[in-house]
Amino acid sequence: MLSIKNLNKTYPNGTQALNNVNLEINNGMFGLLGPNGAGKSTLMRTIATLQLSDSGSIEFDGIDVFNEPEELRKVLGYLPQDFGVYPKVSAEMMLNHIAKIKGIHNKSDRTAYVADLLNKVNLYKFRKRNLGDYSGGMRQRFGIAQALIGNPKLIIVDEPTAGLDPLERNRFHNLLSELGEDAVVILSTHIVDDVINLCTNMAVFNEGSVVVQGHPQELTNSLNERIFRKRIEKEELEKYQSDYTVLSAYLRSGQLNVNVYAESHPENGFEVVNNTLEDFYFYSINQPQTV
Amino acid sequence: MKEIYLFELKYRLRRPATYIYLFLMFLIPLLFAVFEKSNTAQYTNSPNAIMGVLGGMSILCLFFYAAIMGVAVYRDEEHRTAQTYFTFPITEKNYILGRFWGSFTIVTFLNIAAVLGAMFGFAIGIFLDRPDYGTYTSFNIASYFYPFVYLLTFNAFFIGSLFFGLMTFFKRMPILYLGGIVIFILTIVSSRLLANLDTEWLSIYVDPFGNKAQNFIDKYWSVHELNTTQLSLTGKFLLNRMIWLGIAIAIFVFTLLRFSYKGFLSSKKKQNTKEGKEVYSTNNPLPKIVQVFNSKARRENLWSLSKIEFLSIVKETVFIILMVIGIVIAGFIAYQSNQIYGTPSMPLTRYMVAQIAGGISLFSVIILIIYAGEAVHRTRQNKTFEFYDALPVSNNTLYLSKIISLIGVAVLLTLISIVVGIIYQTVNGYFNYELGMYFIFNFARIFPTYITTLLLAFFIHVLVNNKFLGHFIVIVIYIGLPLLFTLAFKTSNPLLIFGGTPGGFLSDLNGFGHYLVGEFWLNTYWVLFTCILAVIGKVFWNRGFFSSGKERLRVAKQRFSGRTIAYSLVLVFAFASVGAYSYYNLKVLNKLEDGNYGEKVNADAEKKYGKYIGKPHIQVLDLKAFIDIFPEERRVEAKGEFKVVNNFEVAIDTVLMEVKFPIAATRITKVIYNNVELKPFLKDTVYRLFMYKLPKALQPKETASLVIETKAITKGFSADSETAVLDNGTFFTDAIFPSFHYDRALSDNGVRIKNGLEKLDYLYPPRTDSIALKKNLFNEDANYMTFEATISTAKGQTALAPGLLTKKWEENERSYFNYKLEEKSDYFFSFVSADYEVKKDSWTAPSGKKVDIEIYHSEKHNRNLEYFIKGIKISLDYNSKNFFEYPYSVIRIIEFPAHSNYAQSFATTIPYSEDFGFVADFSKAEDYNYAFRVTSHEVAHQWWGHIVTPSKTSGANIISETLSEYVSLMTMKKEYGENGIKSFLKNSLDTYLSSRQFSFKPERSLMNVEIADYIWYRKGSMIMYDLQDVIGENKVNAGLRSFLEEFKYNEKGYYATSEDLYKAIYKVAPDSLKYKVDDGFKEIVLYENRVIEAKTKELKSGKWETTFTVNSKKIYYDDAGKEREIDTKKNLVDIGLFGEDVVNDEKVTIKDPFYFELKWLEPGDNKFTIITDKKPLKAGIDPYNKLIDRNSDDNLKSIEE
Repeated sequence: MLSIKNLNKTYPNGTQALNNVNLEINNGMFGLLGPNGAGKSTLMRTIATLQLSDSGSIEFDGIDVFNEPEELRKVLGYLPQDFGVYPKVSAEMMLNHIAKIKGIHNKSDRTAYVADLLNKVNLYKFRKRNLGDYSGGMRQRFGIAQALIGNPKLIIVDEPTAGLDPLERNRFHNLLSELGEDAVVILSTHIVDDVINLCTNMAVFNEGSVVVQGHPQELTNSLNERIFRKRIEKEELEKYQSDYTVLSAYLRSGQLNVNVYAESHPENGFEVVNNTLEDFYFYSINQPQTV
Repeated sequence: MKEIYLFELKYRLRRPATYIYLFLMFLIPLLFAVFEKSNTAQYTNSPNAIMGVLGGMSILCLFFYAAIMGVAVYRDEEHRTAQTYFTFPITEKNYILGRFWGSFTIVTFLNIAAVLGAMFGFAIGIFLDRPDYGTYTSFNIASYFYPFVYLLTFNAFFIGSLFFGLMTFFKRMPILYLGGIVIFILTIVSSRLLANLDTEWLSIYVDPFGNKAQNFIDKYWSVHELNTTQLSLTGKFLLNRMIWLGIAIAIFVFTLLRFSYKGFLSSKKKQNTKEGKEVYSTNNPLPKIVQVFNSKARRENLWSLSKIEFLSIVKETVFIILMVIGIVIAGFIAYQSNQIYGTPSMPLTRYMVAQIAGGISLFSVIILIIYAGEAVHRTRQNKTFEFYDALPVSNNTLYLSKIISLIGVAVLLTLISIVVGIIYQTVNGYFNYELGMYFIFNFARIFPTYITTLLLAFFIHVLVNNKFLGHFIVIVIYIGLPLLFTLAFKTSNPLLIFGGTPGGFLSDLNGFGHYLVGEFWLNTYWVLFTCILAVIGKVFWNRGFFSSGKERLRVAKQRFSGRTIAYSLVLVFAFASVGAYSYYNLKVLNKLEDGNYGEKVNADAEKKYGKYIGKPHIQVLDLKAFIDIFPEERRVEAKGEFKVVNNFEVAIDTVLMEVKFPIAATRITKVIYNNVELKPFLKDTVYRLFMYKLPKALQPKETASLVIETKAITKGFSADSETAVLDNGTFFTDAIFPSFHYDRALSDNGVRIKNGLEKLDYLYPPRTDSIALKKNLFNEDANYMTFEATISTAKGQTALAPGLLTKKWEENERSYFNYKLEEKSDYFFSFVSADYEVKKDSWTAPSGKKVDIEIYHSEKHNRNLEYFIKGIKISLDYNSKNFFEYPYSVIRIIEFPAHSNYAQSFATTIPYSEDFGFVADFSKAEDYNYAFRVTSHEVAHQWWGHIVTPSKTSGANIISETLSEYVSLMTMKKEYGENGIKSFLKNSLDTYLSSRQFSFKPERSLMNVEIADYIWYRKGSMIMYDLQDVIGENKVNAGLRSFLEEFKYNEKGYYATSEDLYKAIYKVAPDSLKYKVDDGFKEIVLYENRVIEAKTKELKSGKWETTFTVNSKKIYYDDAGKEREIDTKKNLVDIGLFGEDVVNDEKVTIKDPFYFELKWLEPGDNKFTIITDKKPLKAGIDPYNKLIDRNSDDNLKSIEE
C-alpha cells in the first residue's frame, strides 16, 4: 500500500506544485487525472524517488521513500512522460542491462525474460536496432518494457499511451491490468477513457492537491441527474458561462454544445445527459470544493 | 531582419553567460599583458608583443565564438522553436542574416573586451615598475587597432561563419567540437611548419588565425622593426588574411543561400535494415525470475552500466573522427619533429613515445575533457535519466560507471599511442620495438595525466551545470593556472602545478634512469587529489531532479555520510601523506625554490663578494684528481691534489672556494694546505661559498700544495633532473672541485636593476684591460697546467678523463683507470662513466706521430660511427697541416645521455650527446651530416680554445667558436663539396637572421659579441666563409697560423682578444678587400641583393647572349637594428648564369653554373651581358647566398628569352 502524507513542494519560482497532498493507494489500478500543469508529474517523480519534497512523507509497503529510495527502486516500475535513451545502444542490450539492475542475474533466465518482454511490447523484431533509431512509438514501447521489468510492486506510468496507436494502446492496457492484480499501479493521465477502462480507484488532481478521490463509477454517479446539455450559438457562450456552471463547451457535428452543472433542472432548453466521468472531471476541477 | 537582429542581441544580452564570456575575454588578455616579459631590447608592449597577446587570444576564443555563433540557429532546433518560428513571415535570408549579425555583434563586443583587457594589462604592467619585465614604450592606439581588425575581427568572422554554417546544416553539438578541433589542428600544423626551413612558407596558407603567418613574415625582423612596425595588411600577410576571409565569406554565402526552413526541419534518420525477420517463439514456459540485490549483483551492474557508457562514447562518429585526426597529427608531428638540422633521426622507441605522445596526448586530453563533459551530461541531455535514475541502481554505480567508462577511454587512448608508434616505426622500416619502454612510458607517464585530466574535468562538469562554461573552466585550470604559476610566481613546484611531475628524460644509455620514482610519487599525489575531487563530485552528483542549489546542498549533506566520509578521510589522509613525502623529498632533502629566490641569492652574493672580482687568487699548476663515481647511488667522491701558485704581484693570504657543482648537496669535506688542515672562516652555505685563511701568506711566484676533498650526493627524488651522475652515463666537469675566484652570476640587466645591482653594458672587461688579458676565458683558476686523474667507477662501466690511459685495474668490485695528459692544458676537464663499447681507429700526423681515435658508444649505437671517425680525421688533418700539429696521441668521442643535445671539447676528450648524431639517419646524401660537422668543429677546439685560449674580454670567444666553426666549414667543403656548404650556410643564415630579434642585449658586432651564440657560430661562419672565398683559404689560414704562433699556450703571458684575431686576418687581406674584414668583424651589415631582369637570345654562332641587371644594396645597421647608412662604395659580389639544376652522383640536387664570377658591383643597378655556350635558365646575384641577405629568394631569377 502506498501512503502519501502531507506532501508539499514549492519551486524556487514560487509555483506550488504540491499542496498538502494526502493519498492512500492500494493494489490495483489507480488513475490520477488532472489538467496539464496540475503537478501530476511532480507527484509522480517524487514518488519515483527522483525529486525531493519540502515536507511530508511517502511510504510504500513499509518503505520510507525519502529515506530508503534504494529500497523503493527495487520494487518500482516507472515510465516517465518524457524520457530519452542511449542512442548507440540496442533495445535488447539496454533491457538486459536494466534487468540486471533490477536484480535478474541468472543469464539464461534473463535472456528468456527479456525476449518475452520484447515480444510483449511488440519490439522483438527490432531488438537489435539502436535505440537512437527508434520511432517515437517504438521508443514509448521500449519505455513500457523497461518499466515492467522485474515484476514491480509499484508501477507509475505518466501519460503512457501518448504516441501509441490504438492497437498498441490496447495491448498496453492489457499488460498493465494484468500486472495491476498484485501491484499498485498509478496511471497519470488526462485521458479520461483510460481511467474508465482500467482503474478501480482514482483521484482528480489540480493545482497541486487532490481534489477528489474515489471509484470512477461512484464518482460519476455522484453527479447523476445534475448534468445538463444544451445546443447553443457561439455568441451565446459568454452569457451561458456567466449564468451557469459550464463544465464544458464542445462541438458536435459543427454545433456548439455546453454541459452545465446544476442542482436542479435549469429548464430553458437544457436536457439531462447520461453523465460520464468526463463531466465529473470537469466538474471537480472547476469547483475545488469537495462534493 | 532588424527584428531578428535585435532579438538575437537582446537574447544574448539577457544571458548571464554573455557577461561571463565578456569578463573572461577581458581578464585573460589582461593577465597575459601584465605578465608579458621582454628579455631583449624589444619593448614589453611593442606592436609585436601586443599582436602576440591579442593574436594568442584567437585559439582561446574558439570556445566563445562557438558558444555564441554556433548556437544561434541551433537554439531553434534545441528548444524546438523552429517549427513555429519558421511559420512566421520572415524570409530565410533575413532569418539567417539577423541571427548571424546579431551574434557577430556580440562576438565583436567580446573582441573589444579583449583589446581593452590588453590595454589595461599593459598599463598595469607599466605601473608595477618591474625592471626585469623589460622597458615599455608609450601607448599607441594603432598597435591595438590593427590586431583587433586584422586578427580578432577577421578570425571572429571566419570562425563565426564556420561554426554558424556547420551548426545550421548539421544541427549537432559534436560538429562544433569537430570544427574547433580542425581549426586547432591547423594552428598546430602551421606552427610545426614554421619550425622547418623547407616548409615554413606553407604557414602563410595553412594558418587560419594569421599570427603564425605573421611570425613567418617577421622572422628576420630586427628588434627595431618589431618595436616600430605596425601590423599591416600587405604582402604575404594580406595573402593569408584574404585566403581565410575568402573561405569565411564562401561559407557565409553558402549558408545564406542554401539555408531553407524545410531543409532545417527535415531530420535524416538512417534506417537500419539489418533487422532479422525472425519471430519470437518459445516452447519453454517463462522461468520464474529471481531478483537479487547483493554486492555481487551491484558489481555486475556497475560493469554493465560502465560498458554502456563506454560504448556510448566510442561508438560515436565524432569520437572516431577525433581519434583518426589525433593519429594523423601524431604521425605528422613525429615526422616533423624527428629531425635535427633537417636531417631525420632514426624512429627510436624513445623518440616515438615522446613524439607520438606529443601529438596524441594533446588530443587525448581534449577528447577526455569533452567526453568527461558528455559523460556528466549524457543522460540529462538524452533524458535517459528520467527513468534511469529511478532504477534500483546505487548512486555509486551510477557515478562510478561514468568514471570507469572514461578510464576505459583513457586506456584505449594509451594503447592507441603504443600501436601508432609501432606502426610508424614499421612503416619507416625500423623494427627494434622496445615494448617495455612503450608500456612504461605510456602507462607510468602518460596514463596518470589522462586520469587526473578526466577526473578534474568530470568534477568540474558535475559542479558547473553548463557544458561550455565547464569546458572553459577545465581549460583554464589545466593550462591557465600552470601558466599563471610560472609567470606570476616563477615557480616550477610540481606540487603546485596541476599534474606536475619532476622532469626526466629517456635515453638509450640510461633508459628511464632514476626519474620514475619521483614521477610515481607526484603522479600518485595528483591522482589522489583528483580522487578527492571525485568523491566531492559524487556527493554533488545530480540524480533525478533538483530544483535549487539549496536542495542540492541538502542532498549533498545527506550523501556525505558513513562510507563516503570514510573514503574521503582515507583519500585525504593518503593525499596528505604522499604530498608530505613528496614535499620532504623535493624541498627538504633537495632544493626547490622559485625563480625570484635564485635571483636574490645571486644578487646578494654579488653584493657580498663582488669586491673579489679581479682580485689576486691562487692558480693551479698541477692537478692530480682522484674521482670515485658510484653510479648506482648517483654519488661522487673526489680528492684533488693541487699544486698552486701565486701569479700576482701581491701576497695572497686567503683562499676563496665556490662550489659550482650542479648537484645541490655537494660539500667540501676537507681542505689541506701545505699539510695543514684549514677550516673556513666564512661559510655561505646558501650560495655555497667558503673562505679560508692561509696559515702563511703565499708570496708572489711561491707555490704550495693544496688537497681538497669533496662529496656530491643525491638524496631521494628531486625536482632537478640531476644529470651529472646517472646510473649509466655520468658526465661532469672539473666543477666537482671548487672554484678559487668569484664571478658574477646575473647578467640580465632587468634582473640586476630589480635586485639593486648596477647595469652592465658589457659583461666582460674591455680588450684594453690588462688584468683581464691575463685571464683565461674558460677558467681563470689556472693558466696552462698539468693534469693526471685516477678515476674509479662501478665494475662493468668505463670511466674516462682527459689524457692517455696509463693504467687500468680492478679492486673491491670496482674498476679503476689512470689517465695522464701528455701536454699542458687549460683548466677544463671532463669525467665520464658508463657502460661503453669502443670503436678504434687511428690517424697519422704529418710528422709521423700516430694518434689513436676512440669512439666510446652505447652498444645500441653502431650506425654512424664512421662519420665521427671521418670528422675527427679530417679535422685533425686540416688543423695539423694548416696551423699546428695535434699535441696529443689520443682523441676520443664519448657518448653521454640525451638530457641535452651538445658536444663539448676537452683536451683529447669530447663528450658527445647521444642525440647529436649517433641515432641520426644520414642515408640520404643531401641531408646535412651534422655528426661529421659537429665532430670537425669539436676537434678544431683542440686548437681554437685549447692551444689558443681566448682572454676574458669582450668578443674573445669568437677565437674559440668562430674559428672552430670556420674549420668545420672548410672540412665540410672538402668532404661534401657544394652540397655540404649549401646546407651549412642555409642553416647559418637562417639562424643568424631569425635570432637577431631575440638578442638578449643590443646586437653586438662579431668583434664584441659576448653571449650570443647565433653571432659567434652563425654569423661568424658566414663571415669567415665569405672572407676565405674572396681572400683565399690559404691566405686566411696563413694569417691564422701566425695568430696561433703568437698566442699559443699563453707563452706570451696574456691571452688573445677578438681584436688580435681581426688584425691577423686584416693583415692578410689585400687592401681592396679590407672593407670586408671590417664589415664582418666590426659592423652589422645586411645586403639586399636581387636580380631585376634577365633576357637571353641565341646568337648566330649558336651561343647564347644573356643580358641581366642585378641590384646591389648594402646597409649598415646600428645595434638596435635601425638602419644607419646605405653603403655608397663598390662591393665584391658573385654573379652567375645557371642551367637546369643537376643531380650529382650522390643524388643531391646542385646548381649548374654556366658562368660564375666575383664582380665589383656599384650600389644600385648593374647590367651585364654574358655569352655562354648553352642556354642559361637562371641569372643570379650572390646565388649561393654567401652574403647575409634577408631575402635570399630574389637572388635568382628565371631568364626570359
